[in-house]
Amino acid sequence: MDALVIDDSRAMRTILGGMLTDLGFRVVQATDGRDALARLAETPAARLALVDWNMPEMDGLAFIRAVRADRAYEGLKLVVVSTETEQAQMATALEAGADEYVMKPFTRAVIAEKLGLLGLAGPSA
Amino acid sequence: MKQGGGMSAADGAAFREVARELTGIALSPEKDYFVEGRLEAVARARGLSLGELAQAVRSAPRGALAQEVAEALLIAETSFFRDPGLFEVLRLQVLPELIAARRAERRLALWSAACATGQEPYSLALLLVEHFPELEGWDVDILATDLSQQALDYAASAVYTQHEVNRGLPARLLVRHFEREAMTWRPRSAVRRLVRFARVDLLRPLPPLPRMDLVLLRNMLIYHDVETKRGVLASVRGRMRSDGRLVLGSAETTLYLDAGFEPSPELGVYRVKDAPSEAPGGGAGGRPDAGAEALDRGPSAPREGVPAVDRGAPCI
Repeated sequence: MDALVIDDSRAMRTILGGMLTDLGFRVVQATDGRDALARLAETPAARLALVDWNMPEMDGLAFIRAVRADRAYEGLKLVVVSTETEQAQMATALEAGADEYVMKPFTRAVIAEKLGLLGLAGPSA
Repeated sequence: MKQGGGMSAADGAAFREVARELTGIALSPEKDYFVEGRLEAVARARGLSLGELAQAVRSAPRGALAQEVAEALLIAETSFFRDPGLFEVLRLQVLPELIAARRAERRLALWSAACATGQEPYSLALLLVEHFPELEGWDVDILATDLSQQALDYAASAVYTQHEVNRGLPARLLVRHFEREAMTWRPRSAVRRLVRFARVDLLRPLPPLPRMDLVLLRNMLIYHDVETKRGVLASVRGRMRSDGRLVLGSAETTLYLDAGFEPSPELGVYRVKDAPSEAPGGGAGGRPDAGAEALDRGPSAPREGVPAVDRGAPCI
């Protein structure tokens, strides 16, 4: 199962990518929303994207809106992983089409449990 | 011999013995890593090493410090909506059936019998508030009990860290039903008011309780021997409605333990098929009289025979 990890921090991409790999996902990394849209076009079977909020070029919210405007990606689950912890911002992300929201910092268990909520316990689970 | 860098095998044995004596929980030596992890904070708070803490509980195995040690070993790892598949079963199958069966009397009694730090009973409350608006105007009561006073105090405060609400709690529910206070999160009053807390020792004769429609008793039986499991199941069944449902942890069962339950088609859910009448002294562990002490701590405003406690407030 393919998954995107979208974050402008290489360290964060490595951490999240490692967690998803351990859960059995094939991981594609992207550095911002615009890069992610290009990667997504090359990975149409992706079932999951973990997306940061604050990124250059195209932020996470704009990425979510772009994905949700394209019916080709209807089955893609979008999880925001962000330092933004205001309820209003969470609500904005969910209204834009995010399926879940993880506040940084997080643990492996947090990611695994959120994927469980989305029916994506991981191919190896 | 020192293990894990801090606790000797003899100290581990002393802590396990205190836990067994005061709570009935049998921890194996393989769990010493868990014991050490749990007790470091207790020792540090007293300015003691783990060895000194062990010596203190050996000297006074029934003292306040020994009780604190035993309670620290009781607090289980938990999270909101732990085992989301089970909560889907409750939402789609179990609760609709119970609500249909109680439509005439318009009351529903749920019991989170080993509630630890409260995530389970609040998850039940969230489920009801979010998905069952038809319960508006019903008498809905979620009783949340545990043996650990520390856990109950935490649960009744209803103040959760960011890490705790990150775990298992759907973001939509966090946005809709929680209030953020600095770096902590608290269920709104509409959720909190459904839950009341009390200290209950399931191994002793139970205090008066309402007849329960649904009991969640997850990941408690696994720590006990067969006879204790039988006693707890019989005791809990004695407080359930004749068509009540019992939910156990995924590694637990009533099979070969209590013929008064039968498995439901839904995994982990058991139906009462033989609800005994209220049996005096029906506790599990042969330690008389102590179970009732727990509810006595709450304000005594009886509600149909139940020592009531204020909903949503630290009440014990």
